[in-house]
Amino acid sequence: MATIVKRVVGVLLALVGLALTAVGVWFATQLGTSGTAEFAVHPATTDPVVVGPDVLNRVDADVVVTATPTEGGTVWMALANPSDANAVVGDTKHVAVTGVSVSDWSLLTTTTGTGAAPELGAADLWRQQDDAKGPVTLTVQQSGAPETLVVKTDGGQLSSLTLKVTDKSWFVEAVVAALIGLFLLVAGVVLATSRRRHHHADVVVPPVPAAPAAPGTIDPDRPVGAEDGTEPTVPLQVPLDHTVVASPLEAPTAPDPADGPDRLDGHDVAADDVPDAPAAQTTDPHDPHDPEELTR
Amino acid sequence: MTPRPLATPKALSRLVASTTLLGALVLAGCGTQDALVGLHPAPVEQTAAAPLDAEGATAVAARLLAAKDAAAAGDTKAARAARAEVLTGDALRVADAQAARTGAQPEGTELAPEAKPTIVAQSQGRQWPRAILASTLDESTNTQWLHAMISEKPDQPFRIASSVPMFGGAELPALGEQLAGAPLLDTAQKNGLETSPADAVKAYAAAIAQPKGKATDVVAADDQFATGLKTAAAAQATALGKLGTLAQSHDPRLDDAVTFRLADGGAVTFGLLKRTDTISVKPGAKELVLPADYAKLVGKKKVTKQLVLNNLEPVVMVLPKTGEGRVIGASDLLVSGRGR
Repeated sequence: MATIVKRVVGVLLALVGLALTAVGVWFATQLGTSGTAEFAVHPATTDPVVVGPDVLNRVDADVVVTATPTEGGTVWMALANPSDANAVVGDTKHVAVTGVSVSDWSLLTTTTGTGAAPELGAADLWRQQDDAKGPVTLTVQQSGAPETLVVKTDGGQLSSLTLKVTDKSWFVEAVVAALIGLFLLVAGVVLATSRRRHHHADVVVPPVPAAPAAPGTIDPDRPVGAEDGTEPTVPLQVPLDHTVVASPLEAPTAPDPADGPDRLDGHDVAADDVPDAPAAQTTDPHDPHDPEELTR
Repeated sequence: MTPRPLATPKALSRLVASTTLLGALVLAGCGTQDALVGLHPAPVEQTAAAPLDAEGATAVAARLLAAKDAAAAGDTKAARAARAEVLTGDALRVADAQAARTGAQPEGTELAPEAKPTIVAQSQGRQWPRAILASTLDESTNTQWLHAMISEKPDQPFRIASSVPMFGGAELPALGEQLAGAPLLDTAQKNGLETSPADAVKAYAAAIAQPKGKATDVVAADDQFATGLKTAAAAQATALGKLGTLAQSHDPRLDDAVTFRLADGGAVTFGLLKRTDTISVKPGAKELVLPADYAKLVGKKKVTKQLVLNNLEPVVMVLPKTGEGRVIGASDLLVSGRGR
C-alpha cells in the first residue's frame, strides 16, 4: 500500500514539476532577461479607449502605453483621476480595457455605452496628455495611482494599443520556477520509479534444543553462587555449528535482520521461503520495509 | 504468516508531508501567484481632495489669465465668442459690458492683469462644478488680484468667473491645505454661518447706498470701497448743489456667485453688485451739462430731468464663522447710462 502511495505521489510530483518547468521556461523566454511583458490590442475603432487602474496600477513598475493610429490619423492620449475619466466619458460609446491575457499577451476589451463622446481634450481634468500625428507614447507612473488613461483618435482609427511593463524580477522568478519544477520533476520520477527495496524476511528463530546442563556450566535451575557468591563461574560454551542456540539465560529473540553478513544462518531468506513460525518463534513487530529498521 | 500493517506511522507521515507539499504547490499556482509576481489591487481613489494637483491647477490658471488678453482681440462677434471661451459668469458680464462701452479692450487694463498665478485653493471633491481660487500680483500698481475660476461640467474647461483687486492691507484668511481642497458652498445657504453669504452681500449693498445706507451688523461698511463711494457721492452732491440730487443704490447679482469654505469655518464669496447712480435735475435747474465721458456714454451732452449711470461692481467678501463680515476687495466699472 505504501509503495502505491509513494508512486502516486511521485507521479504527481513529476507532473507538477513538469508543468512548473514548462511554465517557467515559457515565461523566461517570453519576458526575456529584462523581464518585459508587452500586451497589445488592435481595436480598430474611432471611439475612445479607456484603460482603468485595474490594468494600469496593479504593479509597482511604470507602465508604458503606446497608441498608434491608422495612417494619416492623429491620436490623443491623456491620464486622469478614474472618477474624472468616467465622468467625462460617461455613458458614451467607448472601448474599455478590462484586463490582460498572458497566454497571448493581449489586452482584453469590451465595448460599452451609446452615443458619441464629447470633446475630451477640452476638459480641464487631465493630469497628463499628449497628441500627435502617428504613435504617441505615455508613461504611467505608479506614484500617481490610481489613474485612468483615455485614448482617442482623429482622422483615423486606433490601429494598436500596447502596454509595456518591465520588472526584472519576473525573469528571475521564471527561472527559479523552472528550476524548482525541474527539481520536482526529478524527485517525482525517482520516487515513482524506485523499485521496492528487497529486505530481509522475518527471521525465525529455530526451536531451542534442550541442552542439558553440562559439567562446568551453570545450571539455570540452580541459583548462581547460592552458597556465598565466591564459587568460580565457568564461561558459557557457544556451539560452533550454524544453529542458533538460545541462551538459557535470555528469552528467545530474533537476530537483527540488519546485521546481514553477521547473520548466523548466513543465508538471505526470501519472505516467501519463510515457513510459518511456530508459536515459540517471534516475529519482528516493526515494519520490515522501514530502512531504519533494516539498518538498525 | 503474520499480516503486515497497511501503513506504519512513518509511512503515514510521509504521505501527509507529500500531500502538504502538493497542496502548497497547488496553492502557489492559484491563490498566491499574484503576490509572487508583484501584482496587487489598484489603490483606491481618494475623492475628498482637490481635483487637480498644484501643477495642474497652476497651468490652468496661467492659461486662462494669458488667454484673457487674446480674448479681447478681433471683431465684436469674434471677440465675444473668444471672451466666452475664457470668461464666464460675472467676469464675462463685466468684460462684455466694458467691450460694449469701449470696444476692444486694450491690454493692461484691470480686467487683464498679467502675472504668474499662485493657487490659493481648489474646490474639494470630484463633483462639478469645480473651482480654482488663484491670486496674481500686478507689480505696476502693487495690487493683489483674486481670481475665481469655474468648471461647470466634466467636459467643460475652467473659465474665469470673477477677477477682483484686493484692498491695500486686506487679508484673505487661509482656505486650508491646498491639495485637500476647500469645499464649494451654496451662496444662498447659511452653511453653519450666522448669515448666508447672499444675505451678507445684500446687507452690504444696502449699507453703502447713498445718500443714506441701511445700517447693519452683519458686515462692516467702512472699507476702502464703501468709504470711497461715500466720499465721491458727497463730493458729487456738493458739486450739484441746488441743481440736482444724487441717489446711489446697489443691487446684488448673485446668480453666478462663488463661495469657498475657509479653513476656520468661515466663507469667502465672490459676488457682483450693480450700482445705479441717479442724478435728478431739480426743478430750479434748466439743464445739466454732462462731462465728456458721460456724454459719450449717454449719447447726450445735456440732460434736463434725469441722468442714470450703471456700474458693475465685483466684490469679495469674507464672512467669519461668527461675527461681522468684511469686504476685502472690490472694483467698479461704468458700463452704461441714459439721460433725459
